[in-house]
Amino acid sequence: MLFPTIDFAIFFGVVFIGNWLVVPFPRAWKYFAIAASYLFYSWSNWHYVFLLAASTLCTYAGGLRVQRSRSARSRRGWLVATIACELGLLAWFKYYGFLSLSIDNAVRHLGVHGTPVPLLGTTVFPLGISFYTFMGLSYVIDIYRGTLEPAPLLDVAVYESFFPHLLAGPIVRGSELLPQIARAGQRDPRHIDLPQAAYLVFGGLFKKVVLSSYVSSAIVAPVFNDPSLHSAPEILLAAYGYGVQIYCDFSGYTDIAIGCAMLLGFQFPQNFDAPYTARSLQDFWRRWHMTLSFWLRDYLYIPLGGSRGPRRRLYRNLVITMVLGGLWHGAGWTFVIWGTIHGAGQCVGHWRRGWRLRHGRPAQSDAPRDVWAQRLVTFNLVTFGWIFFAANTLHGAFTLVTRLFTTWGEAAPLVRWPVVAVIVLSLSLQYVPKAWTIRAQELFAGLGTVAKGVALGVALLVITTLGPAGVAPFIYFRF
Amino acid sequence: MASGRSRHRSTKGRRLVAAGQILGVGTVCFAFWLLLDARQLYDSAIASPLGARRSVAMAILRPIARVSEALSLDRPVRGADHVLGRDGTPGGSVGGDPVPSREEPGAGAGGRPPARGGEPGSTSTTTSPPVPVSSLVPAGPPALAPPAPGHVLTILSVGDSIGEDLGYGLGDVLGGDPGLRIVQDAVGSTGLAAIDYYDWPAELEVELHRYRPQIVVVMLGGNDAQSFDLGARYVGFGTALWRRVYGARVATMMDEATAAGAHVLWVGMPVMSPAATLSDVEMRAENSVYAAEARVHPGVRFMSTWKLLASPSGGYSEYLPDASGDLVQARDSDGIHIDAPGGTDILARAAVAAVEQAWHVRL
Repeated sequence: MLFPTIDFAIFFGVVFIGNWLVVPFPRAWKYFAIAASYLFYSWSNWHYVFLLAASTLCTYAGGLRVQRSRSARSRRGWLVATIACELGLLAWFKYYGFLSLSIDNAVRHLGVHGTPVPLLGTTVFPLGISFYTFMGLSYVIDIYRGTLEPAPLLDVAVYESFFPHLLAGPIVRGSELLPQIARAGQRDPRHIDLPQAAYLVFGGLFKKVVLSSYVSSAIVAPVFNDPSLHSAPEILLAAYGYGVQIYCDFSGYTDIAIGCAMLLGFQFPQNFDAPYTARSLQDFWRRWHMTLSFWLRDYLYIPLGGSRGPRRRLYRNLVITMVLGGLWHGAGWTFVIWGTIHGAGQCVGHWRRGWRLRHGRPAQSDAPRDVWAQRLVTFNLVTFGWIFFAANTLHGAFTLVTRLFTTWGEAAPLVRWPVVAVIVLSLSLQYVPKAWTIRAQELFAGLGTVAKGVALGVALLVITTLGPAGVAPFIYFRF
Repeated sequence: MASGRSRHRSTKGRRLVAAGQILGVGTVCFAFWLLLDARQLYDSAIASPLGARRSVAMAILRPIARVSEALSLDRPVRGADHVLGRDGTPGGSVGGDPVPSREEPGAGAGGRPPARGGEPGSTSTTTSPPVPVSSLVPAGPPALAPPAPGHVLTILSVGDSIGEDLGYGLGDVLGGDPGLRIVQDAVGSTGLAAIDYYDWPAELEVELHRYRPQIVVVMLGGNDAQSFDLGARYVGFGTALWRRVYGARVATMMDEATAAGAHVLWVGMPVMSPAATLSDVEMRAENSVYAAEARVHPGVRFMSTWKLLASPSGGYSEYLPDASGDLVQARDSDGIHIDAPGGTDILARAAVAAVEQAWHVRL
C-alpha cells in the first residue's frame, strides 16, 4: 500500500481510531497492530506476509537463543546462525539473480552450455525486506552485545512489522521501539503533537507527490533512460534533478512514516537533516538516511575496527563500509562505484582534517566564504555520485559522464526555466531555518479545530492539484 | 532562562491535542478537500476499473461533485488545471453516467470481427529477428525513404509504461543516428480501456500533428485488462462486446496514424510472471485484438513479443539471452515491465528489425 493514496488514507483513518480505542488493552493493541501491519503489507502481494513472519520468528528465536546460551562460543554460534538466516533471506531475493547470472555467463564463456541456474527469475522482490532484515539484525546483535533484553514474541512481531516503517524505514532499533511497544498501554490519547505530525505528513506528501514527481518526469527519467541522446546542460540539470528527486522521494516517505507513527503515539528517529547543506561527505552521512548510516557505523564500521589503529586501517574500514553500503542498494558495479566515491571522499576528508590539525589550524574553516565553498564542493561530489547511483548500467553512467564534459555546444530542449526553478526551490528549502518551521507549527497549533482542518485541506488540495495523476512507487522500495 | 523554559512548556502544551480533536481536524480537512476537488476525484473514479469499489466511489462523489459545481467550488482547481495546461483531460459534466468521448460501437453494432484466441502469427526467436509480423495487407502509407542527415525519419513511440520501456530502448538503439529522430511520448498508467482518464486516440491526433512521424510504434495494454462502462452499458473484459469496443479504439488509433501518412508498428504485450498482477490469459486476449486490427489496416503491422520475451519453454523468465547470447535481466522485478537496459534492448532491436522487414527500410 502506498502512502499517498486514498486506500492508505482510509486504512490509516480506521487504524487511527482502532489504535486509540484499544490503548487500555495493551495485549489487544499488539494483536491489532500486527493485523493492521500485515494487511498493509499484503495489499499488493499477500505471498510475502509469510516471509515477514519467517523473518520475525528467526529474529525472535535468534535473540532468545543468544540470550540463553551459557558459553561465549554458543552465543556467538547462535548469533552467526541468526545473521546467516536473516541475510540468507535477503541475499536470496536481492543478490541471487545477479550472482547466478554472472556465474551462468562465466560458465558459458568457458564453453560449458546448459542451464545451471535453478529457480532464476521466478520471484518478485518483496517490498521492505532490506529494512526489516536490518531491524532484525540490530535486535539480535544488540542482545549479543548485552545492550538489549529479548522481548516477547508479540512485541518482536510488532517491532518488525509495524506498518509506518515497514516498506522503506526509517530503520528503527530495538532499543528505540521495543520499550515504546512494551509501554503501548501507557500512551496518552490526549497528548499527540498534531502540528509536528501534520507538518511531517503533508510536507512529505508535497515532496513526494509534487516535487519528486515533477523533476523525475521533466528531466531525470528522459536523460537517465536515454544517456546517449542528451547534451551536457541536460545531463548536468538531470544530475542535480536526481539529487532533488531522490531526496524528496525518500525523505518524503520517511517524513510521512514518522508523522503517522507520531499520530499513533510512537516516536521514530529522524532520517534526514538537510543533507545538501553538508560541509563534507562525513557531514553528509550524518544527515542522509541517518538510520542506515548509523546502522552501518554501529554494526559494520566499528566492528571492523573503526578509527582505531593506524590511519590506513581507518581508510580501509571507511571504504569497505561505504562499498558494502553501496551494495546494499543492489548488486551492480554502479553501486560499487557510488560507494567507492563516498568512501574515498571521506578518506580524503579525514586526511585533510588531520593535515590541518597537524599544521596548527582548525580541522575545518568556519569562515562564511569557506563554509559555502565546502557546501558547494560536497554537494557537487554527492551529485557526481548520484550519476552512478541512478544510471541503469555502468555503460550508461560513463556515457553520461563523458557527454557531460563533451557536449556543451549541443541543443538542450529539456533545460527549461520551470525545471530549473523547481530544482533551485527544492534545494533552497534545505536552508530554511528550523526556527521558521517551528514557528509555523506554533501558528498552526494556535488555530481552532475547524481552521486547522481547513488549513490542511488547502494543503491537500495544493498537493493533489499540482501533483500528477497516479503516484510512482518510492525509489527506495526497490532497495 | 526560567521564563524561556516556561514559554517552551506552554507552547508544547498547546501543541499537544487529543485523538478526538485530530479526528475532527481530519474530517474537516477531507470534507474541505472533497468539496473543492470533487470534480477531479469523480473523474478518477470514472476512470478506475469497474467493480464495487468504483461504484461506491462514484455514488459518494457524484452528489458532492454536483454541489461543488453548482457552488463553483471547483473553480480554483479548474483554474489551476488551466494554468498548468491540463484542461484537455477528462471533461464533461457530472450530470449522468460517463459517456465515452469518441464514437464507440454498441452491442450488436458494427466493428471488425475479433480474432480467434491464441497468440497470432508468432515466429520470433529469442535473440535476433526475424520478428513476427502479421502482413496480410500490402497497401498503406507511402513507402519509407531511408533516413539520412538531410532526410530525418521521425519515429513516434506511444503507449503506457511498458511503451515507455520500449521508447527508451529505441532511444538507446537508434539514438546516435543523425538521420533519425526518436520521440518518446508514451505515458504511464494509460491505455485504451479508460479513455475518460486518458484519451489516447485524441492525444495521438495531437502528437501526429506535432511531430509528423513516418513511423508510429505503439505498445500498450498493461492497464487495459479491465471492464469498463460504455454509456449505460457494462462492457465486461474479454467478452465479445469488449473485443468490439476495444478493437474499435485500437482501430481508431491505427486509422489516425495511417491517415497522417505514418506506418504503424503495434507491439504486443509480453508473457507475464505468474506472480504478477496481470495474467497471460488477459494479455493474449488483448494481443488477439491488436493482431486482428493490424491485419485489416493497411500500413499497420503487429509484432508479437510473446516468444521474444519468454523462456525457451515458453514461460515467463526474468532473465533472457541478449544478442550476444549472454543472459541479461530482461524483466523488472514486478514481473510486468521490461528491465533496462537488458530487456529494453532486446525489445527495441526486435522492433527495429520488424520495421525494417515490414517496410524495407534500413534504420
